[in-house]
Amino acid sequence: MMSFEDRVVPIMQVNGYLLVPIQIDLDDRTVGLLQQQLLKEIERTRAKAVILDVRMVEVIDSYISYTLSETAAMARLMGCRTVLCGIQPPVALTLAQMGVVLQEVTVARNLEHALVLAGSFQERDRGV
Amino acid sequence: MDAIKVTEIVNGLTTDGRQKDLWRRVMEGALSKEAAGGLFETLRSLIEDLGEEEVGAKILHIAGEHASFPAVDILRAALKVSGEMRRENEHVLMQLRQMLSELATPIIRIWTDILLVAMIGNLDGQRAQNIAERLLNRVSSVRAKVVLVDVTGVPMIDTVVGGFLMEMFNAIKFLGAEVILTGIKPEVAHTLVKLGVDFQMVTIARDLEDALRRGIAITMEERKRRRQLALSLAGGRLEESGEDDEL
Repeated sequence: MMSFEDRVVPIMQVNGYLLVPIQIDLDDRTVGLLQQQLLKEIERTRAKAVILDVRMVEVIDSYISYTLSETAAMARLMGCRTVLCGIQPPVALTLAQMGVVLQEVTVARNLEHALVLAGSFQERDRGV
Repeated sequence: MDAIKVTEIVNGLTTDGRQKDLWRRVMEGALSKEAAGGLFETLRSLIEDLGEEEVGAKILHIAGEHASFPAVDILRAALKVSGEMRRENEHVLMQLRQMLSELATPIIRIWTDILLVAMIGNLDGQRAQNIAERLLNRVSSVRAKVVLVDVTGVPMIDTVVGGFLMEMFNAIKFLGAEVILTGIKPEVAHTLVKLGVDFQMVTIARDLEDALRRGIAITMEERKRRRQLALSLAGGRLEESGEDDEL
């Protein structure tokens, strides 16, 4: 089992998806721990999709966005898709101006949109 | 200085009655060391009429005619007035630029969940930044699903303008909205291909009608998916209920 210190954020399971509301400021160490925690939860729950809600996050720098892309790529190798929702306008503009590309990440407008996208992934995977 | 001398100098400066009166006030104000405010106002009027260089030249001319005329003090006052006028003009210009920017790029909610941005005029860095900020805030506040960008009114799209547009499109996509680009003129299309500007990350439509049709299709598709999700969740509960019955 994970020790308490390894839990960076609460992770909820909703209809086969993992819902991860990130309500802390992300720094390099925290995002690394989040990566480990997520991958373990994906393995344990065999989730088809992960929804990261970053509505409360005010800064996403290039390293954090790189680590999120990396996490999504790792999750993809485990058969799990990643949906990111809740990016605020100033963060979106900064990411675009930095030339950030979020690989293997699907972006949703809000949680509802994220659930719809996650559902479509599940259908697609089932169809294969 | 007596009145006759003042009149002679003023008559030598100009034939315009109003300007003669202004110059007379400048000379009297300069020598009386009072009415500083009046002097500034008079100099402002002269600079507005004649421009800084001519006013300066005429002040030096007066000094040549009359040795005790305090040319340095008057020139310093003229410089101060000129500086204030320039700052006021810059402020007005900034306001006009901002007003033009907002008028030139209306952001219209053209359909449920669909925004239309019609760009008009040249795009520079400052203006592109302003448009992007306004647009992103609008996308977020109305929860737009699709943004139609019409560049019919943009005269030329080079690599710099193309870069601004791509940054804006990427930022919109980070908010989870789709982007449909329309209004690329033949000569612009030719230039973009030659320059290697790549708009692959967005959907491109023939005209505004085509863009709107595609936008509506996107919103309809998502509505359908949302309905399917709801049915799926309900189905899940029914299945669980069935399993419970079996057990």
